[in-house]
Amino acid sequence: MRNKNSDTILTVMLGDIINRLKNNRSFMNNVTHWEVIPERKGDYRDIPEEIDSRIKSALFSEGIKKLYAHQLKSYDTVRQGKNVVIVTPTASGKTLAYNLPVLQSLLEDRDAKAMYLFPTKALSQDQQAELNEIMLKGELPLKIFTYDGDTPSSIRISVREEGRIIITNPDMLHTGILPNHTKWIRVFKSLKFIVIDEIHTYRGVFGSHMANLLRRLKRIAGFYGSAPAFICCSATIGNPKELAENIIEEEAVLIDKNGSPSGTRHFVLYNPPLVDRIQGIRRGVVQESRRIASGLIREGIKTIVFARSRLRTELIASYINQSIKNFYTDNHRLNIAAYRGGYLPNERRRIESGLREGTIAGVVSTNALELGIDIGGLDASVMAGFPGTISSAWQQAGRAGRNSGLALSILIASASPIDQYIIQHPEYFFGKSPESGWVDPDNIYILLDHLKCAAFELPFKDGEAFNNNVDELLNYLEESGILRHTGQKWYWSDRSYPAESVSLRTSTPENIVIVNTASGKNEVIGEMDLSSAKFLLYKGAVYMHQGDQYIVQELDLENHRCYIEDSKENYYTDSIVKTDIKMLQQDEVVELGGIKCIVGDVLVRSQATKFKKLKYHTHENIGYGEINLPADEMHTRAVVLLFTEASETGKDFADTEEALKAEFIRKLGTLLKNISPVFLLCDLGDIGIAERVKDTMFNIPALYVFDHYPGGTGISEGLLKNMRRIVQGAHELVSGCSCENGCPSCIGPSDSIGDVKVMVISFLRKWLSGWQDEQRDR
Amino acid sequence: MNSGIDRISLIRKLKKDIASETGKGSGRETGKTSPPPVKDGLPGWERLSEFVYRRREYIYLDFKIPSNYRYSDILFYDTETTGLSSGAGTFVFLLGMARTEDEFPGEQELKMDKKLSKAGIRGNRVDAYNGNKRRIAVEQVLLADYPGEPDFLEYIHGRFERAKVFVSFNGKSYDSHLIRTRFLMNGRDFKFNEQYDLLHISRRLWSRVIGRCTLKDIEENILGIHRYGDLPGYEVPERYFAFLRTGNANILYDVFKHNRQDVLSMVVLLDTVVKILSGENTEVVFDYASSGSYLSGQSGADEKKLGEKHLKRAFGNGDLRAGRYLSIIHKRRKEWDHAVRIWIKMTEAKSFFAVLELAKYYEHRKRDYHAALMWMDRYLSWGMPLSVKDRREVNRRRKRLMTRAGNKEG
Repeated sequence: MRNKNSDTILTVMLGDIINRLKNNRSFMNNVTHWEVIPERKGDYRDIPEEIDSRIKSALFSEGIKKLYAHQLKSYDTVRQGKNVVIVTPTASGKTLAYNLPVLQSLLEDRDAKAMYLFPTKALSQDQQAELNEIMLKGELPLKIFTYDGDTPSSIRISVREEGRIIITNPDMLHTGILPNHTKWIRVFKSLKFIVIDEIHTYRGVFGSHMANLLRRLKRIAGFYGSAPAFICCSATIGNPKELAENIIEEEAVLIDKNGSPSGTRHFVLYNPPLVDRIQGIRRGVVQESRRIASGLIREGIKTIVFARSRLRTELIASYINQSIKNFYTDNHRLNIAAYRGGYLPNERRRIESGLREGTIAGVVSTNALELGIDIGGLDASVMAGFPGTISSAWQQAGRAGRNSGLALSILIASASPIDQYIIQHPEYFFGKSPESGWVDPDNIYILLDHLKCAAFELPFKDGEAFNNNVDELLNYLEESGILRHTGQKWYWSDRSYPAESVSLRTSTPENIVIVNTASGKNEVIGEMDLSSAKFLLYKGAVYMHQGDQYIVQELDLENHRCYIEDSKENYYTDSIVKTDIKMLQQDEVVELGGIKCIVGDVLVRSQATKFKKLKYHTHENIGYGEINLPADEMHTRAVVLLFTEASETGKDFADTEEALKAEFIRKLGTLLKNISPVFLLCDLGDIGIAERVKDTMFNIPALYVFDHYPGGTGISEGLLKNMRRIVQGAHELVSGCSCENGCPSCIGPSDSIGDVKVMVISFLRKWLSGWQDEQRDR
Repeated sequence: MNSGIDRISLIRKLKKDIASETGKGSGRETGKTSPPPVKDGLPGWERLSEFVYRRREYIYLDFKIPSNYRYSDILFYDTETTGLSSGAGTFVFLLGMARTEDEFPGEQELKMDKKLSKAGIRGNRVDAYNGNKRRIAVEQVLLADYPGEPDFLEYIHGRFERAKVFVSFNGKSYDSHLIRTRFLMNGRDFKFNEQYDLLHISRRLWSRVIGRCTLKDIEENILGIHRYGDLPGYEVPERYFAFLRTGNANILYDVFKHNRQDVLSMVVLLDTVVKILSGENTEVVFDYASSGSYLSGQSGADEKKLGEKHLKRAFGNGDLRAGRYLSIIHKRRKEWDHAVRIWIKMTEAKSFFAVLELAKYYEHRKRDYHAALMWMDRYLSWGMPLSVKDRREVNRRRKRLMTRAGNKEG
């Protein structure tokens, strides 16, 4: 922990650097906007009298003598037995906002228990460490345990028998705790609080699963006679209260007035300079981030760099290390770490504590560090590319800055249209409210999966409500032979363990272990999920881990192992991925407003067939290699829109200039993708689009809108059902958008000279008028 | 990927069903009742309540139990379940139990039971008849449909309450948890008294001998019990579901037979284990090194003595593990001559452990650094592979010994 004194020194140093940057012509030439967010004074309140003296003394020893206003409000509201949603940026003391009422209540009621749910294991461990500190300092007699896949079986019994606060994640609750609730009887009998941190991460399909998981949790708690209150925390999103209430399906009090102080933040939008004015090629985001971050780190500014992929994370980290080592002697000791999913837990813990204790001067990370893992205060954050959503961008920017003093955030644009749009329209970025989160807990696909799990956990009584009355669905499950209805109850009557075959997340849980075979050591240095491995760990790939370079000798998919050895090549590798989409079965063909729409099963096939060898620093292509790995296949559901020439709209399309056709379909797809979540209550990431100027199967232009979840979650059916409203919404959105020729909120930023936006608007108008009375009402 | 297809077909079916039902105008009536179980009754079984049945028989067997227990303390038990995983949705539908009474049976009953044992159990051990037998009540309780569970558990509770030791095969980590879960699901609780799980000791005694140690493996390879037409365990749940659907109890007879044999085999198995661990003559093969190490770790003097005997026998047969355990026992008692003799014998098989122990002995006990060094060098001359750790250990030790040997001379 740093003290006030060193904070002041750092503020002076950072202020100095900011001034120098402002006076640096070549830097400022590339700055499209410099926003200064003024400091905010803290709103402090007294610690309530009633707080247990042991908690107070723990707080005092942490230097906390007053609470922020939002912490007090959270305390008061929770103590009244109400649910809350706390919206606070990073470093605003949100952990205390929920720990304070929980700890106080647990000390007052010797039986009371609390369960904390975090979306990732890393966050759980972080929270455990933080709570342990309070426990120690205050000598509080409360046992806190983390229960996840890493919990050794030797302590699992103590967790269940003695734990007062159980820290876990949704997946563990789903497959481990709820199906075995009789083992957790002590916890469920007096479960008083459920804390759901980072609730904004539960959106779309994942969020709909979460809502159903909580229905199951409440059902089991009810069985043992408890009715826990919910304390939710969210990053800044468009609709935190709505999202939380949709997930917990109860009312919640919104606490979004942040009472913590924050220093002045300088937010700089930086567009790398053009190197080829004619072709519009800019300097790469990797090199620019390296340059800017190295500059900051050399000056002793603790910096975090966010990169958009694992590969870029490693590249930037190794570049920064090189450029710093070359500087002057004292910098040899500066330690720059890379941080991303796939590192072993120990390694990650080491980096996190290195950052807190100051032994690591800078870190390059994927969005893995975007969530609230405690890495202490950093001074500057550099985003190597726009992270995709406005709410992520603010989260990442927020990782720099303490309660007082200065913070610097620099967003470096990549060449992608979205980045270029953001960087050139700062008013869009600073003016637009962050994205909203949607869930659809009654999605029949997801609901049915959880109904099975719930029936396994406890037989349903006739007429018992899950969301609403579910008798019809239970009836269906009985017909499929997995429930038995007898004695006014529905009993699980199947040998399987249903939670095992229901995954809350899209990605497969299977992992590849990365083994370094150098000098016969056979040392495991990391892991990677199976589907990513196919694109990153193919034979001949250069793999980077903490800046060290390895080459892949063999990827053994069968045994889930990847063998690598040290490498000194002067290049890195990047795979070329081909994505195919094929309709397997057509279930429904309808004409909607003159456009033929087909719903059916599709096979989305992605395969890396080749890889490029790219020279370090110049990134020039110095060769290719072959990849011989099976394709990654996903069966899912899709709607395909076919632009037949017979229709008005189809004719319109046929008349389009050849060169613009592909872009036009893509824009239309982007628009539909952007607007659909509002109507389908899903997340942007749940929908995929693929455009074909001439589809190989239908021989005409086609636009596929597919479900990103294996097997589908009803998005395609929803799309068909709501098509008219969606098209109407799309038309309103794009024609009402104030942008010139496309922006990320409507059809996506344009990278061509053609007037695509006008084309899309006129196309949509025609489509709507073609609807008339053939509108389906299903 | 496959789950994608399953899901798709499941959903498609669901959608069709709902569509066709709404089309018909009237959906299926909810709240319909499943067909009654046990359509044509269960011959040989007593009905205890609406959905609970019991079958009881007496069998006479001569068998041993651990000397610290009384016969009437012991309850053998085994469950048949609706799934292989644990968890709240797995039901116990059949419980087999066996218990003994202390008194010996009368002539009359013996005759009757001779018939029974002929019909039931095969295998010489069980069939052998020498008049010294105990009466065993074998009882099976069936849950014929889910709503009967409270009654089913009530009956079991009555039986379990009286038992002081629960003998099972893998019951400690499986059956007992499942039963406890069932009690908790019905708003009551049951805590098992002492549990004697035959799986663990069986693994010790036989896993080296026969590999896999399922009850069936042990029956066939060790106890000489052969089952004919036995139902594989994994088919049990399907049988029960088929019975629930049809009410045809014949489907369950293989399950009853299977469960009954499991319980009886446990009785025989316990007898065999107790005999081995008390040094009685048995013709059964087992891992003497393992039983020896187990016994010598027990607190009783007799057991320790027998353990040593087993270890000696195993070592005599060239089992290096036994040599290791035995030498450690001697070393602890500072019976150096015995220990050294064993180590030297073990070096014939190029044991690294023995060489290291000898080197330690000569260095620290005898202060004969040359002899210690000689053992280290001899090991190296054999050219045996060494792990990195062991090699480091050897090098460190040799270096020290050389200095010490040199000093002593100089």
